Amino acid sequence: MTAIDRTPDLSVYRRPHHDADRTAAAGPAGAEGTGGSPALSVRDLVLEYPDGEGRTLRALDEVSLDLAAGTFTALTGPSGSGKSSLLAVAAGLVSPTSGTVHVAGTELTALPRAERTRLRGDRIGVVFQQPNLLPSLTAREQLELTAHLDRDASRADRRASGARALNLLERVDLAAHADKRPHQLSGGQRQRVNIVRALMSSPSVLLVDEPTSALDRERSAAVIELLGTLTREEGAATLMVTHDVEFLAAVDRTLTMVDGRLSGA
Amino acid sequence: MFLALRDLRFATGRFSLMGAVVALITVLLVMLSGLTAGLGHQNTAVLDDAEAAGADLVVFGGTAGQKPTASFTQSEITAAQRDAWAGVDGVAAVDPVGLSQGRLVGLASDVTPDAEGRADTSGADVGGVATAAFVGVEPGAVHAPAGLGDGEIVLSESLAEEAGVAAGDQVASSGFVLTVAGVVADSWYSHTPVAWTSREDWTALTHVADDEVLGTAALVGVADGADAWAVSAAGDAAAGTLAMNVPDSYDALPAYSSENGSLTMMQGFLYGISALVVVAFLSIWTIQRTREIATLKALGASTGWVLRDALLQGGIVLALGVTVGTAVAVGAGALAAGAVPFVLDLGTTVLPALGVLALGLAGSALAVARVTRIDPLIALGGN
Repeated sequence: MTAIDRTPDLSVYRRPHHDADRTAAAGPAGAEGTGGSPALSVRDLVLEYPDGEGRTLRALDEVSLDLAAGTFTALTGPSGSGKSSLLAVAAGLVSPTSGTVHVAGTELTALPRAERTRLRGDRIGVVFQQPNLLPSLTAREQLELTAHLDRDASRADRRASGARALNLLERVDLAAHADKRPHQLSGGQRQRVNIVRALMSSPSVLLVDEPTSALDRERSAAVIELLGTLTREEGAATLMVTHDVEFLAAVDRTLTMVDGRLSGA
Repeated sequence: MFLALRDLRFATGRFSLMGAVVALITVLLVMLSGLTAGLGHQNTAVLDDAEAAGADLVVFGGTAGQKPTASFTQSEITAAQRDAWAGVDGVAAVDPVGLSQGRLVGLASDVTPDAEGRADTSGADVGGVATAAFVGVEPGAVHAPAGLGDGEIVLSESLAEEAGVAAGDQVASSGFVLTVAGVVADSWYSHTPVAWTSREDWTALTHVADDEVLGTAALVGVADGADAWAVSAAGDAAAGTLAMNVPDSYDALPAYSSENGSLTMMQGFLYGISALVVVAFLSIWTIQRTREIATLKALGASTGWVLRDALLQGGIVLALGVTVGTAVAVGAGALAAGAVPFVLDLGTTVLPALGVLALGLAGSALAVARVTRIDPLIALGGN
C-alpha cells in the first residue's frame, strides 16, 4: 500500500491557497509540475465491464493523460465515448481493469477503498453535474462540511474552515447568500456553491462533470470562466467533461474522446 | 454530528413525527408495565409479604389425600404433612395457612355472639359489605399480623374502609362474628384485600369439616445455610406434598398465568412494534437520502462517518421520544394509581424505556446499515 502524505492537508483550512511549488507549476500548457510530477497522471487505463449479454464492453481503451497543476483541460466527445468513465476512475470511484492513476504522486489505483476515499477527500475535488447540495445545510455549511469529513482535522481546523468557506463564497460573489439553503438559491448560484465546495480542501485535482448541463447559455459561459479563474488561483489541475464546445475559450487544452480512446493528450 | 444536527433542525416535522410515535409507544409500554406490575401485586402481595417475613417455600397437598396439586383452590395441608415437614433437616418453620375468599359484613352496632362465635346478624345495622380474602394463620407466626387472636380479625385498610369498620368494631362472615383487632396497610390475594384470622377461625369460616386439614398450603422457612432445593425434595418425599419457591407458586393462583401472560405478550408486541416503527422510518429516510449519502462519500466521507452520523441522528430522536414518553407515562401513571392497580417504580418506568431505546437503536442500526451499500458513483452522472 502506498503511503499518503497528509501533512499539507491539515493546514488547508488555515491556508486557503496552494503550496508555493504547486502554484509555481501552474501554466496553461504545462503537463508537469515542479519536480516533474503531474498533479494527475493516467497511464494505459483500461476499463472493461460486461454488457449483460455475455459480451465485454471496453469503456476506456489504453488511455494515458498528464495534467499539470494550474491547468484547465476540457474533455469532449460524443455520449458513451467514455468521458464520464475516465472521470469516475480518476476520482477513485471505479477501479480500472488495468492501468494506473497517480494523484499528486500517490498511486490511487493501488489503494484500498478506504484509502481511496481518504485521498479523494484530501486531494481530489469533484464538481457534480447536478449540484447535489445537501438540503439541510446553508451555502457556507456545504463548504464547512468538507472539513468535518476529514477525520484528521482538529477542532481548530474545523473552526478555521468557516473563514476559508466565506473566502471562497466571496470569490464567486455568494458571500451575501452564505446563510441561504439550496432551495433559496438559483440554479447558477447552486452550481457555484458546488464548484467552490470542491475547492474547499485545496485539491490537487479538480474533476468537473458537465457543469453547464442544467444552465442557460449566459450562465454556462460564466461558470466555465469561473472554473478557469479558480483553477489558476487555486493551482489545481482541472479536468472538465463537457458537451458545450462553444464555451471553451477559457480552457488551456481540449481533449476529445471517441470510443474510449483519447486524442489530443 | 455536524450534519446530523442540521438535518434534525431542517426536517423537524419529519423527525418530530417519528419522535412522537416513539413517545406514544413508550407511554403505552410504561403504562402497561405499571398495570401488569400493579395487577400482579394485587394477585400475589400476601405471598410476597410472607416471603419477606421469611417463608422460602410454599407447600401444596392434595384434596382429601389425593395427589398434590399446585393450586391454591384445590390444595389441602394436613396435620400429618405439617409434622412430616417439621421433622425434615434444614426446616426452620412450618406454618399452615388457609386461603379463601368470601363476603365480609361490617356491623354498625355490636352483637353478642354465642360461645362458638356465631350470631344472628340478620337484623343488625350494616356499615358496609366487602369481598375479602380470608387468610388463616397461626397467631404469633412470623407472617401473622401482630395482635391477632382467636375471635379476632385484622383487616387491610381498604377492606376496613369498604366495610365501614375500624379497630374494635365487629364484622360478620358465614354466620360468625369477629372483632376487628387492627387495621393494617393493604395486602392482596387474587385481587381481593386480605383479612387475617386465626387458623382455627378460618377453618370455621370456610366450613372445613375434616379436623386433620390445617389450611390450604404451608409456608416453610429454610434454616440458614441449608440448601432450599434439598430441603424441598426431602420435605416432599416425607410428606407427599409439592413444594416450590414463592415466585413459582404464583402460577398456582387462579387466572394468574393467563392474566400475566396476556399483559406480558402485549408488552412484547409493543417492543416489537417500536423496533419496527424505527426500522421502517429510518429505512425510508435512508432511501430518500441515497443521493445525499452518495455525494458525501464522493466528497470523501468514509462509510464509518456516514454510519455514525445516521446512527446518531436516530439515537437523538429515539432518546428524545423515549424521555418525553416516559415523563408523560410517569405523570399519567401517578394519576392512574389512584383508580387502578398501578406500580410506579424503576422496573416499570426506566426498564421499559431502556428496552424501547435499546430495540430502537438496534432497529436504527439495521435500517441505516444500507448506507454502507450506497455507491458514491450515484453522485456522478445524474443517475
